[in-house]
Parts: sequence; structure tokens; C-alpha cells
Amino acid sequence: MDRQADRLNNPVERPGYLEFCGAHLYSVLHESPDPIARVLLAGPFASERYFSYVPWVRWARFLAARGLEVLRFDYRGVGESTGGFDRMSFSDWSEDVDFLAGWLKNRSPHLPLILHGHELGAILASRAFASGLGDALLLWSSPANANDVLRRPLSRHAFKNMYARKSASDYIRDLEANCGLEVEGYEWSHRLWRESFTFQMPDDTEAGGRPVKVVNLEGTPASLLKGSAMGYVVSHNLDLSGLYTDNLEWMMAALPALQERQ
Amino acid sequence: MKRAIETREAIAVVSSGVRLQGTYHRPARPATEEKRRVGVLFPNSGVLPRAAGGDAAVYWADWLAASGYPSFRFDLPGLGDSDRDPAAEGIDFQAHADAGGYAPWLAAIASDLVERFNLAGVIVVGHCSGAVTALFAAAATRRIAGLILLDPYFHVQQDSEVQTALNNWNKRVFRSLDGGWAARLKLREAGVKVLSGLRKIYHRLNGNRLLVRRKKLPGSANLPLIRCWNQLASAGVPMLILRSPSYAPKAGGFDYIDYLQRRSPRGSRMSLEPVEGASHAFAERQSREAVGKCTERWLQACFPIPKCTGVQDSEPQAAELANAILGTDRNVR
Repeated sequence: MDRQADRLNNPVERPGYLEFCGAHLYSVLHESPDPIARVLLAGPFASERYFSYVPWVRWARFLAARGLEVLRFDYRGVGESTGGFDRMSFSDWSEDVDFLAGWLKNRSPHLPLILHGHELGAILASRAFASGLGDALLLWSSPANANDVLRRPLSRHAFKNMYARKSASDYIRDLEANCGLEVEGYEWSHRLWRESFTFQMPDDTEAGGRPVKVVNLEGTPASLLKGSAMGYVVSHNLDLSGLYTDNLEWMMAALPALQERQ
Repeated sequence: MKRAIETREAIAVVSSGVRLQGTYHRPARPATEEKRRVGVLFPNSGVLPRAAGGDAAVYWADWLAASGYPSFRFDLPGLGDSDRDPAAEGIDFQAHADAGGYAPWLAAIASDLVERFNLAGVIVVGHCSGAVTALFAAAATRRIAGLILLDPYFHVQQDSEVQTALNNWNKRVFRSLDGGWAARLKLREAGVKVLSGLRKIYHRLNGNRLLVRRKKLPGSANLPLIRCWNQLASAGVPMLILRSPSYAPKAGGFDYIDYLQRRSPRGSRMSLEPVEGASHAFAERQSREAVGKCTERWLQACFPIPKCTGVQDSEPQAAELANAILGTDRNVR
């Protein structure tokens, strides 16, 4: 597969800012001249963003080159978006997904909207989907709840700060005791930690006949999207063409039914 | 969707048909027409997107823009939001960066920004392999007026043959230990003891060897990069090195910074500041602040922002401050 061609076949990428709740969400719209559907990509948690960024961009270009218009973005307080991370929690980021799903849908209401979430984004996309947003749902590496998402960067933090002679459990005790904790440059609030236990995948995603696909990336080359356990990026030169093709095929197979529903 | 907001703007530079995506952090104070100021440019830290680890580069760019320096963060080809797919082109990032492969792109971005924003020049803040790219690029264009290097390295990544042999032997031993369940635990413990003893001997011998030859560059030195450094030092290009404890020279290791400082010609304008408590990522709040302060102080000393007409020029004072920071006399050149 000629991945360079994906970019060349899809020259229109519009980065910009969308104002929401007093902050600006950095978003990149991968336009397609005559789109057959739209896809909202909800990415992983802040600390994991760096590991999967390049494959995530390639996935967006891959889809756009094949007629699916894609919107990807940074959550409030993360990456290129404005807002203070320390004031954010999972419910705020859930609102980001709802807002952007609505924005993307409004661009052309007659086109099907596919929600795609990876890691934390899988929980957020599922919740948006359960509330009735989107016509299809694709999930990569969906955790059971948001606390699962926080455990990995917390373990890395404990490992990198071995000299402090504190285990992950000690840091958890600090978080439980109403103290904030800085993990990999992000200020975790007590609120973020507490909410992580209750912020989970919807019990029973109300699909209502809408297609849903769950992909477990463990044991595949794509498992490296989350980086090494020590926090190194290992995904820069990953060849995920197999994963991209499989998921595109699923979308294409689902499209006729989605278009009929519109 | 807005391309620009009050403090930032999504901008792109197109070089050789490749679109390089960046973010412009608007300075708090407007520019004067008659006197131009320098801008600050952040390329990627390693393969990370332009926000860097813990969004540290966003923090620094906001900080410097608030101090009056237009600041820019850019993704190099194949990184972040920029074009190109190095995997598809068979490019190994580390080897490419160490060979200065990203320098032409960074030089092109610097030139474009100088023209477009009417800047007096650009100061590049490079971190890790970004520092390597910054050195190569600064040697190639005068548009880069100064460098701030965070944990730069001057060696090429290569495996020591002895180290590789030891690691292979280590793996072989563990593979054989894993064969039988019954004796596995005891054998593993014994194996670990033997290997750690061998490693200690190896590192001790290796350290002594380097101590004896410490005035010579090691075989793994990146000689083209060191030539670039010498060229910039000779030209009096101001350079600030910020070093985390993890990049401080280890016992028996070769101290490239010390070597380069000792061999720098008179008139070179280089200063080194350790950032205590920082990790290599410089992402923690404390080290982010320390880097922000050091950078701002150094910029104000070496590249003060021109005052509007009618306000007394602060250049003489700034020159004294620069001399104090850099430990050199600017008039020597």
C-alpha cells in the first residue's frame, strides 16, 4: 500500500480551532471532495497521545483518501487545544466528543456519521453513541472504565521515579487523600481520579440496529500504539496497513445500511 | 473552524512541495516597524508531536510569547501533522536525525518565518534529537541567530561490540535457564549474580579506558555535528545548553560539553546551565518553569526586544547582562 499516496490523494487538511465552553479545541478536518460518510476520531488519554499520534494521523489520511471525511482533535487542556488540564475530567472530554460529533453531523446531515474511539476515546465514543449520536461505532482497545486508562501512566510514573521509593499504591493513596499528582507533565486532580472509577463503558450500548465493531489490539502490531511500558514511543514506523484495511472494509460493508437509514 | 484565535494561529510552511504544520504563538507586545525582533522556533523533540512531552513546548511557547517573543512550534516531515511518511520511504528516524537529515527542513522553516513575520532572525530551541537538528540547521543558515539546546547529544547511536556480545550471552543464559521448571529459580538467581559481576567488571574497565583517553573523542562521536558546533562557536553564535541530571556525564563517560567548551575559540558565546531535578523530558512543572525562566533570561540578555521609538534603548545594559551570563566579552570578536 502506498501510504504516501494517501496524503497526496487528499490534499485538503484543515487544522483550526473550534470554540467550546470557553476553550478552543484544536481540530484537523481531513476533507474529501465528495464524501460518502464522515468519521469522528476520539483519541487516547493525554499521556498516551504521543505514542499513537503518527499512526492516528495516517489512519485519518487513509480514510480521507478513500472518500470518508475525518475530524480528529485534541481534548480540552491537552496538546494543541487550550484550557487547563488540571481543571478537566472525563465528563468534560465526553462533552468535547458530543460537541464535535454534532458539529461534524451538521456539516451534511444526510451523510452517515461513524464514531471511532481508541482507548479513552473508546469510552467517550461509546457514551456518545449510547446517547444517540452517530450511525456506527468502531472501538479500538476499549478499557472497562477510565481508571484502567489511568493505571498505565501511573505505573510508568512510579517506575520513572523509583528513587522516590514510592510504589504506584503510594501514589494512589495520595490521590485518594484529596491530593493532586503530576504524572508525565499533567496535573491529575482528585476529581479526575475519583471520576475514573465510575466513568465507564455504557452497560448496554443502545445500538438500535446500528453497527458496532470492537477491535482488541492486544497481541497485534497495533498494541504498540500505546508505547513501551517505560514510556518510549515505539509506534513511529509501525505498519498498520492490515488494521486500516480491515476496519475500512467493515465501514464500507456497513455503509449501504447506514445510507438507507438516512 | 477558525485558523487563528486570540493567542495562537495554525500556520504552515510549504517547502519542496511538503506541507509542514506549525503553531504560531502571538507575542503579547506588538512589533515596532523600525526595529525587528527575533522569533523563537521549537522543532519536534524526538518523534513526539510539536507539543512535546507533557505539552512542555506549548508551555514554553506561551511563556516566551507573553514576554514579547513571537514563538513557533513546527512538525518536521513525517512527524505530527506534517506531510510525508518516513516509514513508507524507509527512513529510520534516529539515523536520519543524527546525520542532519532534518536540518534542511528546519532551515527552510526558519527562512520562511523570518521573511513572513519580518524577524531579525530565529532562535531554535531544540530538545534531544531536535538539538542535533538545530545545530546542523544553524550551520546551514544565518537566519538562525542563536540556539537553546536541551540535553543535546554528540554521539551516534551504535552498539558497542562488547556490550552486544554481553547482552547476547545474557540472553542465551536466560534462555537455557528457562528450559527446566525445577531448577529455574535457583539458576536464575545464580545467573543474575554472575552477570551483574561481569557487567561491573566490564563497566569498570570501560570507565578506566575512557578516563585515560578522555582528551580524545570516542569512536562513536558524531564528527559532522561537532564540526557544525565548532563552526557556530567560531562565528560567535550564542548558544545556551540546558542539561538535566540524567544527561550529566557519568563516571567513566565522556563529557562532550566539557570537551567542546575547552576547545571553543575565544569569542565563542556558549553557556551551560544544569536544570536540577529535571528528567530528560523536562515535562514536569518544576523543570518546565526552570527552562522557561532560563530561556527568557538568556533571550533578554542576548536578543533584547527593541523598545518603541522614544523609549531609551536598553542595549548597553543588555550587553552587560549577556556578558555576565555568557562569561565572555562580546567585543573580542
